[in-house]
Amino acid sequence: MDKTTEADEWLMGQVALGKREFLESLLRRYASPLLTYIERMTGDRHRAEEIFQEVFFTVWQKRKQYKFPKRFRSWIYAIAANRCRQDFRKSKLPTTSIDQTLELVSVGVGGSPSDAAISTENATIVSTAVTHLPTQQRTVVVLRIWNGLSYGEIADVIGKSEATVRSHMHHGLNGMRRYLEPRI
Amino acid sequence: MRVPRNDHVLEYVDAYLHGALDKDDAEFIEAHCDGCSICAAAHHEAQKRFEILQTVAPSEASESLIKATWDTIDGRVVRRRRRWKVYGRTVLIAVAASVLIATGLHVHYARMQPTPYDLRILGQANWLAGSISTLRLAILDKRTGKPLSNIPATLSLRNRKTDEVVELVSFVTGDGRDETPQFQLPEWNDGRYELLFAAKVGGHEETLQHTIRLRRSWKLMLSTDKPLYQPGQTIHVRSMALRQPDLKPLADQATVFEIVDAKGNIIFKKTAITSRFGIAHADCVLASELNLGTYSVKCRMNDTVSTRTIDVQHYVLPKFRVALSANRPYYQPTQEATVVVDAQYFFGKPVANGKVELQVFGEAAGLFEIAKIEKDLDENGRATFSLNLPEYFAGRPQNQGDATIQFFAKVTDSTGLQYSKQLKRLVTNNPIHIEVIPESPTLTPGVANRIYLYTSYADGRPAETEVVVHGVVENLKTTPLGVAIFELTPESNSLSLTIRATDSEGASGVRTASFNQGRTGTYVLRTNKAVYDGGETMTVQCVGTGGEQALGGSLVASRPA
Repeated sequence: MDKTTEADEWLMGQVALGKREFLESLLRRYASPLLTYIERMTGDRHRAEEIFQEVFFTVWQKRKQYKFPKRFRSWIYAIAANRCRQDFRKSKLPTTSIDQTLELVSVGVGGSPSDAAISTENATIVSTAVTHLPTQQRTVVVLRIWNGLSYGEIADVIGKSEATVRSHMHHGLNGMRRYLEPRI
Repeated sequence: MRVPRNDHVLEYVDAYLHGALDKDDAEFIEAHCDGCSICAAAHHEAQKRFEILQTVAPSEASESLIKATWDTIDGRVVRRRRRWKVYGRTVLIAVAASVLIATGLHVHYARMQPTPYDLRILGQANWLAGSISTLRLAILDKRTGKPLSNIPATLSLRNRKTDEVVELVSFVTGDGRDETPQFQLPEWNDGRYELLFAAKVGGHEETLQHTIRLRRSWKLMLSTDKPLYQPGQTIHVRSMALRQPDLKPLADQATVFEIVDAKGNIIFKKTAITSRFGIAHADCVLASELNLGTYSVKCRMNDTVSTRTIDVQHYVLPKFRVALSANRPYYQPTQEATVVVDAQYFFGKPVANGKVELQVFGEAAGLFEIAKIEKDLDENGRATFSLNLPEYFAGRPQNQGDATIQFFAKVTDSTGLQYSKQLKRLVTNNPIHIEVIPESPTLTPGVANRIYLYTSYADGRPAETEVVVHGVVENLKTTPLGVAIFELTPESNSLSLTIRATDSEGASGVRTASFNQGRTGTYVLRTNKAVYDGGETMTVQCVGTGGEQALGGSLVASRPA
């Protein structure tokens, strides 16, 4: 059986049975989206990588709590969201490293050097705007814009109703607008 | 969330672009932006922001991060398994060790046997430190229940705090009896100590342990030099501390003196150390202006407190003395009473030409005035009053029917100074009092019971009299100490005797006494003396009518001699 083409839920079902080799497929599949989410949430690449490792270890530890065929994507983002919350509680306020942001955005930027510079600056401002949002709103905004989750999936992740999620999205966008308008 | 229909939608265009609005709101936004240039501009700005957000690149997880994550999971899983193995092994070893220990203890206790000997201590658990005490100690064979003889034993006391052990007494048990050794207790502080009774029996040592309590007790006597002080004077306070029960002086003990004024303020506090005679003292100089009234003087030594009260008042010393004397120690109704008042200055001269007022009171549910006489003192400071007492006085049963008369003299000298004096005398119909004391509370039937008589004058002096006990004795005489004895054999369950006593001057008294007879078969116990010295032989005589019977008795001391 090809592990790379199987659905996330089936793979996680195998992991839940103790087959650790199936976790590697999930790890590779979710590495970039999950890292994106965690980095947007924390604003710090190093912390994001630490949390990323913790999240996957938690997936292995809590494998028996996974109930097939529950959506794996919602489940893993819920674990990541909880882990980020714990981290915020420890470190009080998230920090943003401009150098890291520069490094990150440079990967996806092409074109002329001036375009790259503008894109990099915009990415920095956006990243800062995101970190200024309250945790709940930030979770909703990041999952929607950069991870592409539907509002229903986000509701599963944060354990609220869809209407609440949409409300958080509205307020989060307004918060970002107030920050971005004078800067962009 | 609901988009307001009657206002601009500037704040909702971002949500519209990100699909956060429901279908109705989204359609309203579209329609509104088509017709409103302000909101259309806002929509345009929002569109730009939307695109910028979309262009922010996602984070890429490097291969090294993925590998590191996988290694972390792998490493932790391995460590976790190893930890569980160690934990499992530890638990297994602990369980095995517990089983071994439990088995060992079980076998040990199963093979244990109680000692065949029994040590017993009978006696008090509260002792006075430093006193001589005793206990009843027994070493018994459990099988026979009899005391063991020739067993060396020791009794000791252990201080738990210092681990100091003092041997109280050691002895070897005698033949078939308990031991009651006497021992001196150590002078230790108040507290609980362990009493250890150890005996070498059957080749090994048997020990019995009891907790006892030692306490120290003192007698503390507090005295002041005067009962009344004036402001500015010095109160000399002294205490004497004696140890109980041997009443030896307590030396080198801290004694705290305290003086509290009439309003409860502590005006003096001093700690003094007792001398080798147990005496400590302190001096308190009173201020010239202070609270007048009753002061309390306290002396405390550990828990023992002694208190007395003194008065602090302004007072003036008397200038002359008034003496009052009567011609008789007691009176009978209608008798003439002569009272002499004598007033003398302290510097030696009589209070000549002073005035004196004599009031005479009787007692009947309070005082009532019998007479009031005024006279002048003569040149010797004297005045003599004579009056006949009334026929009737109210006597009191507790005074054997006697009444009291009071003479109250108030003397005023030529300068107006006034002092008074009081004198009391008995008034009685029976100048001679008779006490009747049988040798036992009830008369023993069939036996000549001894009845003791004591005759005395009303003022308490013994009266040597001739006594007639009607129907029993006609010519009985009391000794100069007023004592007489006669014998009486009861013939009925109760009897009443009339006793008359007359002295040589004709003064007499009458008394009626009633007696009850006891049960048949009772005895009268008589000793040959009332008071004995140590070492003297006591002869006890038992008199009864019960025929020949075996008698037994015991002598009980009311307190240790």
